[in-house]
Amino acid sequence: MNKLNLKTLYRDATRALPRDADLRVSTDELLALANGESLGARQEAVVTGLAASSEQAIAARVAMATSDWSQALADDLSVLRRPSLGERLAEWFKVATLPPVFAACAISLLAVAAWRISEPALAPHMVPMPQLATDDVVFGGDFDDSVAHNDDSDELFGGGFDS
Amino acid sequence: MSDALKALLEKHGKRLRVLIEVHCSRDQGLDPDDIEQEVRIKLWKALESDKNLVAAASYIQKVVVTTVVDAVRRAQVRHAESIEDKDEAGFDPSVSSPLRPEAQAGRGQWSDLLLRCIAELPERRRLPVQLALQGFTADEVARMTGASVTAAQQLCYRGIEELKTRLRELGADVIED
Repeated sequence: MNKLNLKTLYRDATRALPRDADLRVSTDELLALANGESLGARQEAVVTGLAASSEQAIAARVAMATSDWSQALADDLSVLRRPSLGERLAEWFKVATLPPVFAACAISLLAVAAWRISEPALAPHMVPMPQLATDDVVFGGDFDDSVAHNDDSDELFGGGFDS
Repeated sequence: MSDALKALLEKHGKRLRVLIEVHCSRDQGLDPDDIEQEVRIKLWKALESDKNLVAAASYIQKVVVTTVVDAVRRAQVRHAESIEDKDEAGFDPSVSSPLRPEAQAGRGQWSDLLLRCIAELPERRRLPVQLALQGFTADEVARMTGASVTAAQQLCYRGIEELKTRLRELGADVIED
């Protein structure tokens, strides 16, 4: 009795890679196709290549099947490899080239401290407070009250101005 | 870090093994356990040797695909060698041959007939049928060929039914998809 399994038979018949080099698919093309990207002018040849070679077809099916799995593993790896706070600080310290800055600050602080030690301890000079004189009268007290109490009509130039 | 990485790769490795089991049939000579282990070792080595390596999803996917392609090629070499051994055994009267050359020849003959029948299919059905026989789903066939899912299903179904009818006419008794 001739019992046939079409898939097994066809995959056996297409074990070899296609003879036509145009139908051979690169790994990058497989991954692009698996991720739903269009291959432009190569699309038709690549799909025909998958149909014509069970090796290429298996690789494409695995690429399609492991797309979500790869993303999940990549996400977990990125969490696992995230550096600790100490490592990030050390990295920042290195990248920011801070050691010279800290060295300069330390030298300045030492210089200030040395100057402060060598300087004699003196109290600041007392600044005399201004004293108000009891006879501090504007115009020396010679203010003429008659000017303030002038009842004459207020005319410019003594009223002699001819307009 | 190393222990955590090991645990993480083991955890994801189990899921990978299931995916390989589902998508790579054992009759292709592939062992999901071997593939999973090889992928795990490759990723482990890459991540341990380069602490700054950003293992993007595309990188991981590439490791899996290249590992599967290598495994398929090794399986093909084994298959070719086993056929040679069988041929040699056929000529050696001292070897009790468990092979059935008629069956082997018969299978090859049916493969040729199948390819000829596929070549005779209408052009618009041919590619969807070939993709379906390679194990792609109707959704995947539709996505790759630019047809709608319904159209892809119809083309695959009618094409395969046509193949079965033709092969029955040529003498096949029982045909499975």
